Amino acid sequence: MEPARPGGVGISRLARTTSFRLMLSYVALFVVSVGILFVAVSWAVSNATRQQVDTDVADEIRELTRAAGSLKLAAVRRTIAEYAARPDDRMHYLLQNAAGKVVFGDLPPMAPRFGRQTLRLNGMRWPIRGGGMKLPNGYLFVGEDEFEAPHLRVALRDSFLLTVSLALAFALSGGFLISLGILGRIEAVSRTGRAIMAGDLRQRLPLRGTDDELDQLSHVVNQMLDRIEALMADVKRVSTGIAHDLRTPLTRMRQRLELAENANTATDLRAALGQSIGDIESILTTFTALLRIGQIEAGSRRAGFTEVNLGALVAGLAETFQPVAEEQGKTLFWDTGLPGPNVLGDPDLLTQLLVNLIENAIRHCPSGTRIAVGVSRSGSMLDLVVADDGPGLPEEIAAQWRDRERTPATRVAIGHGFGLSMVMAIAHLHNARVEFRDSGPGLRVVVSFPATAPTGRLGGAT
Amino acid sequence: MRILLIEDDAEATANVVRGLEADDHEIGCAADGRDGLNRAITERWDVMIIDRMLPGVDGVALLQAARAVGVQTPALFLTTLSGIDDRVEGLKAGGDDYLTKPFSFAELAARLEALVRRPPLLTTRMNFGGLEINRLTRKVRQNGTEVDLQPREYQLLEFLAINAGKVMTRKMLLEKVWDFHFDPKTNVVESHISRLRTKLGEAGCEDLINTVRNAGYRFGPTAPS
Repeated sequence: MEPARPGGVGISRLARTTSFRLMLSYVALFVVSVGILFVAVSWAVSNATRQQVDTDVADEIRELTRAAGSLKLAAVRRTIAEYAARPDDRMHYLLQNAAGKVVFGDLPPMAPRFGRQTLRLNGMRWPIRGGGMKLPNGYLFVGEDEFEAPHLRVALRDSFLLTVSLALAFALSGGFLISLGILGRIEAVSRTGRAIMAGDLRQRLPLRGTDDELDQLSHVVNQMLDRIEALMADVKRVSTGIAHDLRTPLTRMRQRLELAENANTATDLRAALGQSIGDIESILTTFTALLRIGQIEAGSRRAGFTEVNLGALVAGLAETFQPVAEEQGKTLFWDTGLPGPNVLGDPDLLTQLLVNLIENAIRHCPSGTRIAVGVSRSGSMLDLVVADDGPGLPEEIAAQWRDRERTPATRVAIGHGFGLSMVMAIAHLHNARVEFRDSGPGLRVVVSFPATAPTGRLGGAT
Repeated sequence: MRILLIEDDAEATANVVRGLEADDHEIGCAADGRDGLNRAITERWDVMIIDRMLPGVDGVALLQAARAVGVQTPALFLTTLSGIDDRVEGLKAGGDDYLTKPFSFAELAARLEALVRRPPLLTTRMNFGGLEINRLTRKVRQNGTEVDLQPREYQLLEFLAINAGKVMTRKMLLEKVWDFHFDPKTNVVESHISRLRTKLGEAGCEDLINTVRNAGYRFGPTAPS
């Protein structure tokens, strides 16, 4: 058996729970997807800002050359000076003559080059992106610093980090809380399980009434526990019954054998041995009955069902038991009813069922009792009736038998030997209902079988 | 008679051997299915006793194999299961009778005797002194006067008569006459035997049904004429 785990709910236990691990997996997936999103957005933003700068620079150059009216250095210089003086101007300019000397601007001289380029200059915080244009006797470069792109990247990174940290914090605390809740319920289940293992079969799993999957599972487990408890009670009752049934012959046998040890004559010894064999026979009968009930309850006999005529069965068995009843001062009547439909069943077992009922009446009723056996039709059912005008079934046993027709026969074995248990087991196998009625005076046992369509075939008469 | 006992429990074997040898029978033993099958096929026996549960080859399979190669020796199954299906299964496999463990020695002896001694009489009219049993009309006459018997009483008398001279145990009668494969709690057999004796006695035919102590009943002082 697995050793019981300590009952406390520790952090390490929480971290091991399925719900927490599931939560962590979700968080990891979330972080990765947000990371991918961040990279993609950063790339798109950089691209967009760069394009914006390129457009701005191209517009500026076009505007500047148009405003200058000519491409002469002096005219261009004058226009740039005007532009640069604008308060919101973010542009950087370089105008150099053919000798490469700076005529105007805030950028260092550079090799004249047509087209776009990015400058990374010492002393400048941001790289400068711009376009160059060769003039008839000089070179013009207009650029704009790219401070927006890094700004945006930083802002994006910060919000990414913030989102991830918040998500992590929420997920971890949420995961802990949810796991704590689930672990608490699992812990309650484990506690119940341990209590049941310790022998308290009345314990049941707690239900919250939310009908969630844990509640549904607990409900099923509780039903299983009900069944196990009932079975355990059966086992206990049956073992007590068996012990009781066996103790009497075993005690008698022990006494006889003790006496036999000191027997003076071979005749005494033989008599003691003979009686002991009789006791063993009675013990074996009990065991055989138990085994047989077990086999009948297993239900494998249904495969061999055939049509059985209850009327013929009653006639045959009543004839058989009539002399037995008469010997004991009782009268046995029988009425096989009108030729009616048959029942589907096992002839051997149905014979035993009726024999047990008849024998029960013969054995437990006083001399002078009248016993009637018969078959009658009641709707779609065929009733097999064994009634007597004897003292009836003692109330405690009758109570044990009531409403038990759908339960295993071993459950009600005690009190009247195993004969009635066998009746229950066989009836159950045949989907028949057994009723014990007080027929004032006496007992009336009615076994109701579902009738089959009449075919005229007879079977099972013995 | 020569009896082959196929049984894996050494103590049970020793007890059965001791009991049967005391009745002057010759016993051969096999402790597992393979050896049992081998001896059943290669040697000549009057009857075989086969345990259902055997190591090697199961009792039912053993008998099926033996029957398949033409072994006709009568076979009696021993079974620990008071199985309701086991009896049918054993008989289907070619068994002639079955006995549930634990059994009384007298029961085993009676069943072996019934299996080995001459087969039941199959004549339609049997005579035992003045008693005549007509199996076609199912009428019984004592010195020409009809004895009025209930159907079950007739069946009992007929079964005892066709097995005249052999011991029929209570269990055998329950199985063959009543088709009861369980043990009734009341003395059905005794009551019917008693009634039958009374009716035969009243008709002037006495002492035909003899009680064999601790075993059963034997019919007829002599073989039918």
